[in-house]
Amino acid sequence: MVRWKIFGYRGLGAVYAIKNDLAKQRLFSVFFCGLLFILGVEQSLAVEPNKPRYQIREIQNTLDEAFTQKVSLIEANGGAVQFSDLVAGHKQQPVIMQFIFTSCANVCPVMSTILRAVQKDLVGKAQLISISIDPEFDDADELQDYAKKFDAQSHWRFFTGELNDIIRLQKQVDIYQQNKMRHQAVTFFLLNQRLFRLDGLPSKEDTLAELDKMLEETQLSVLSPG
Amino acid sequence: MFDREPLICLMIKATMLFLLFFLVMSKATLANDFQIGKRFYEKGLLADGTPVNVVLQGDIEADGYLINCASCHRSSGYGDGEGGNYVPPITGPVLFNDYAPERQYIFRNLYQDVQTPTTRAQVHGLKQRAAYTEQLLNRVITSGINSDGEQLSPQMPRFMLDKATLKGLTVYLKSLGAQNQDSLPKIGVEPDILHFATIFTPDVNLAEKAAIMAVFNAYFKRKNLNTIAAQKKPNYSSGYKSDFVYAQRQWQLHEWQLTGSAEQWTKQLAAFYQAQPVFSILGGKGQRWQAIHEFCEQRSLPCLFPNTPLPVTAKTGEYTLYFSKGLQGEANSLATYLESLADVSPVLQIYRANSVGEVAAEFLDKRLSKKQSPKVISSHLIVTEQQMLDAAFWKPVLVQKKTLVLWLNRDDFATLPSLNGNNLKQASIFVSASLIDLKNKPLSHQRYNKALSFIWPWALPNHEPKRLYRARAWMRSRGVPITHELEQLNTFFVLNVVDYAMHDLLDRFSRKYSIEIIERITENGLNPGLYRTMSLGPKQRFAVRKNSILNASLLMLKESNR
Ligand code: HEC
Repeated sequence: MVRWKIFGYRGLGAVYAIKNDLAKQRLFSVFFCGLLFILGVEQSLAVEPNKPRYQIREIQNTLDEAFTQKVSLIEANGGAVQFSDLVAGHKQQPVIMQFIFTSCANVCPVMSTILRAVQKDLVGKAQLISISIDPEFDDADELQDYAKKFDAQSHWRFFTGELNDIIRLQKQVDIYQQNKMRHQAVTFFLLNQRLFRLDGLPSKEDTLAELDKMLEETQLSVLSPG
Repeated sequence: MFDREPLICLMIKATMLFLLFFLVMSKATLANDFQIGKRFYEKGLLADGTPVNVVLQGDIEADGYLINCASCHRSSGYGDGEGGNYVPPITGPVLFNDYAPERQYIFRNLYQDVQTPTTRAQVHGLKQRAAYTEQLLNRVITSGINSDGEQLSPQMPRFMLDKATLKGLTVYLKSLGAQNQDSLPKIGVEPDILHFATIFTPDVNLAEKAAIMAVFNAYFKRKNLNTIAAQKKPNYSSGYKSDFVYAQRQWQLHEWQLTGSAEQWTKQLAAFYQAQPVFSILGGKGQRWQAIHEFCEQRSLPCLFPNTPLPVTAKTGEYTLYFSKGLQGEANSLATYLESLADVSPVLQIYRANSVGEVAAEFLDKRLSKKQSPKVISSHLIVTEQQMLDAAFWKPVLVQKKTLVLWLNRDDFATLPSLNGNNLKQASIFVSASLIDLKNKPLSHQRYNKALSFIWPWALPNHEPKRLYRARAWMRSRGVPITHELEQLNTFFVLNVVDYAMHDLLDRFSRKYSIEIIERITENGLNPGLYRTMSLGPKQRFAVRKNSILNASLLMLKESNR
């Protein structure tokens, strides 16, 4: 079997182990450490500056198509809602939207924890929306449990619906994966007729700062300091 | 006393006792550490039972209820590569040894998954690193600095740990993924052979069993021939394939035929397992699955997709996966449908005493009475085991103004008089299509009547996923007579799923990990074409979620289309 290694450190280690003469060992050890040090320095020089953990871009064309579509959703603690009505409010107040599912292991808990963290700063300033991409498993009861787990306040709402409707919606905003388990961390920001897409997992500070920037750019001033 | 027993003897005795005490205590604390570690890993609770404080992404505070090790590194410890986040394995052998990335273990992440720029950077950036110790583990968990002194990405949260929890976690992590050459045969893995079993309960008839076994045999035969061919020329096959050959083994299937009543099965299963341990149970068939479910859970033995109308739904297991919730799902779907009607006459449920239909009727009652003021009232008409069903039985039933729900088998259903031209009082009769085996055996044309509706667990006729044709073609080309298409296609599905899972597993023979892989791949278009959709997720145990209520007139259409 061919073992594939990126660096051959282990090979050097083996050479090191064979040298049982103490003096030689010490010498070698100094040499080895020096080598590692040089490699280390070289490597740290080669490393790119700390990459951002997320990217934001504006989505140009889908806005009208996506947000005037007749897609019925079912709210976790309420009745049927038209998606277009749900997001119509974004002209006055930004809407932050994520697609999640309650049994999701790795990505969704972090995504939802981000919303949990920013919701306190956004009372009366933004609407938060989480839509299940596993609607046949995530019925209203499951979603309510999930909302409770994440201490969701009243401006953070949870939705399920018909599988086909929700697939259609995901396709509109270009996040549909054939298998929900390939789901990625995406957060949408809707403000003043514009749609921004954030890929990745930002910190709380980053999230709020980015929202501020978008508000400035779109000249919606609900979030003005104070 | 001192004269009789020399002091030295006493001292030796005391030492022995002390040592014994010490041994027992240390065993006990080890077990205790393990439990503390397991609870912390899976539930995020510290040794004192309070949730751990967590910091995510640098500045987001949360606690162990929301985020714990298992969320990301998964119960198995093998991590997760799906979606926008690569999470590395932290099983004992990986963590507490020097580590170097090996291509075959991250192959899927490198070449097959949908990649985001982040995952691509993560996976391609994997590096060799030194072994962890308990102290280094503490450092990485609390401050994100790895065993080589490098800062990890903030996607690995920071946790505030105390000493007792750290000790427990170390013990627990060491246990994860720690299969060695000696213990492998005890889970059905031998150097050249991988053992599986399938189970039949005594109610399964010979023809059904033969139909299912024909699919198993054809699949195993082809699979094993392919393995032999690949192993003959390990370095020949183009590109990456040879990376995987070393992990492949000959598959061997054992048929576990249970006898007698359900109380006797546990013992029989234990005897089968002792004679030949297996890695997992594949498919099989039986009206009642409780005893088998419990056996599998107790032994941490994957039990994959049996054909059964009565899966265990009360407390979902870790190791038992089902196609659907069976009759309970059907009862729930029917209840939802009936409640959605503007006007519905009282329900009369008809079934035989001590049959699976009886359980279905209880499910329906339970579901209907969940509503505070039940809209639908239900009563029962129980047919004894000996009673013959005939025209005399049906006549008084059919003139009542009731919604009939029949939880009857095929033979009993066949005694229902033709509804055409009959002066029916009730608007509708609902029948479980699975109980009357409608998928395998359509009714004769004149049996279909608009008054009749079926609870239908499968894809709607003429709307089956395309894979149905491929699955049928596979059976034909392998010379498998299609006599019980439902069970045969289900078996084909199980085999596909296991084949993919074992391929991903390579030589990491963790049963937990195999279940996690199956949770992930079930939605990957493996649906044999019988169901509208199939999918699982972490901790989800039922792959098919919806039943339709299908009026017989739609089936009539289908029949005439043929
Ligand atoms: C939100 C997801 C998440 C959670 C929760 C999580 N981890 Fe991690 N963990 C990661 C990621 C992602 C990495 C890889 C980071 C990197 O390579 O920069 C990682 C890396 C590690 C490493 C380093 C592995 C190595 O090879 O150096 C260890 C050890 C570890 N995690 C242990 C734990 C333990 C123990 C817990 C629970 C207390 C835990 N993790 C919880 C995502 C998570």
